[in-house]
Amino acid sequence: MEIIQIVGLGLIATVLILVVREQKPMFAFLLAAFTGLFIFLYIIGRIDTVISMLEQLAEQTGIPSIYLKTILKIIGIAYIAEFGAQIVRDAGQEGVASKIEFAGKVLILVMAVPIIHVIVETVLGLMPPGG
Amino acid sequence: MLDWLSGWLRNIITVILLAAIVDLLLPNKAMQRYARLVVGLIVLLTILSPLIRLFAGDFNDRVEDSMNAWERAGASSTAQMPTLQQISKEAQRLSNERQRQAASLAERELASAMEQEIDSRLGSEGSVAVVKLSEDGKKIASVLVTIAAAAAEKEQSGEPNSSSIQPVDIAVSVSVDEVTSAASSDESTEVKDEEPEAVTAEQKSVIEQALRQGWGIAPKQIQIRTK
Repeated sequence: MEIIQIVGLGLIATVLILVVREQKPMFAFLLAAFTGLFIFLYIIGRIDTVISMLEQLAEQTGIPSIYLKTILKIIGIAYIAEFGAQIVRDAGQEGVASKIEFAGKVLILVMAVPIIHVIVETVLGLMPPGG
Repeated sequence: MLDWLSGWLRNIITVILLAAIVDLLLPNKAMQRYARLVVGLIVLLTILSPLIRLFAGDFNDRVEDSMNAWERAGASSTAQMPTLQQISKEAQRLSNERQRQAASLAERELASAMEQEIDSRLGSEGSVAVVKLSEDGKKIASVLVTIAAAAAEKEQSGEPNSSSIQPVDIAVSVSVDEVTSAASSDESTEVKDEEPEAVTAEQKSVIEQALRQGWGIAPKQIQIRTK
């Protein structure tokens, strides 16, 4: 029952943060960041199951591996950007957090560049020359 | 035909399944919009794949190639801040380089001055001096003087100023160890043993005297040979 452990950890961290925040806001933030990091790293291994399932699926049906790679990269970028942005947001730096999210969005969009390239080339190739 | 159709459909279904799972996995709404666009493009590519294959050949390789090229470009353009260690290493390298250049310049200057002095004292021309500085560049480690053989003969015959004198190169090499002068003297005596016989004692003393008076170089550090 990992969920109980994680929720327990979260609750304890919350209580401690509330207690500490009055005296030392700095330590409260550090505690929050550490708790977030711990839960993230603790549970990131579980995504492994999902990813291996996706890989198996892709292998069985024979879709090009580049698709799966792109999709996994999107998931990774989204998670990392979201996680970093939330820690920064906890510290009260809304501006920096939104910049991190922006960077994540841009990087996800950049993943689409080769695909768009092929589609556009094909569509242009469909046009009759000189038409 | 049916095989091809079922393969195509299977591809589409798989990609759409993948897209659904990605939607579930994504952390928040803001990212979802962007991810959906990319996943939608992939679905579109899969649906269009027979058409694309018909008109543009095998496109998977091209997608992969451009993806890899883009990754390489991104990796190479990544702005890297040099670490402090790298900076100090670079500074060390630059200062070593500068010291080496200064030392070689000093060696050349010293050598040319010594050549002039030796030439004037022996009354010959064309002697060549090679100066080696010690590691820290503050002391002369060794001098190698090469005098022309003919000049040496003239000197012996007592006609140093005759016009037919050929240049004599004297090689004087002296190794000076700052810490243990005894060890260095040993080394230099060994070096002296290898000297060619053609250098007379008289020439040697003249050269050694010149170098000692001019630059304070001990005879041990000097190596003389004829060309």
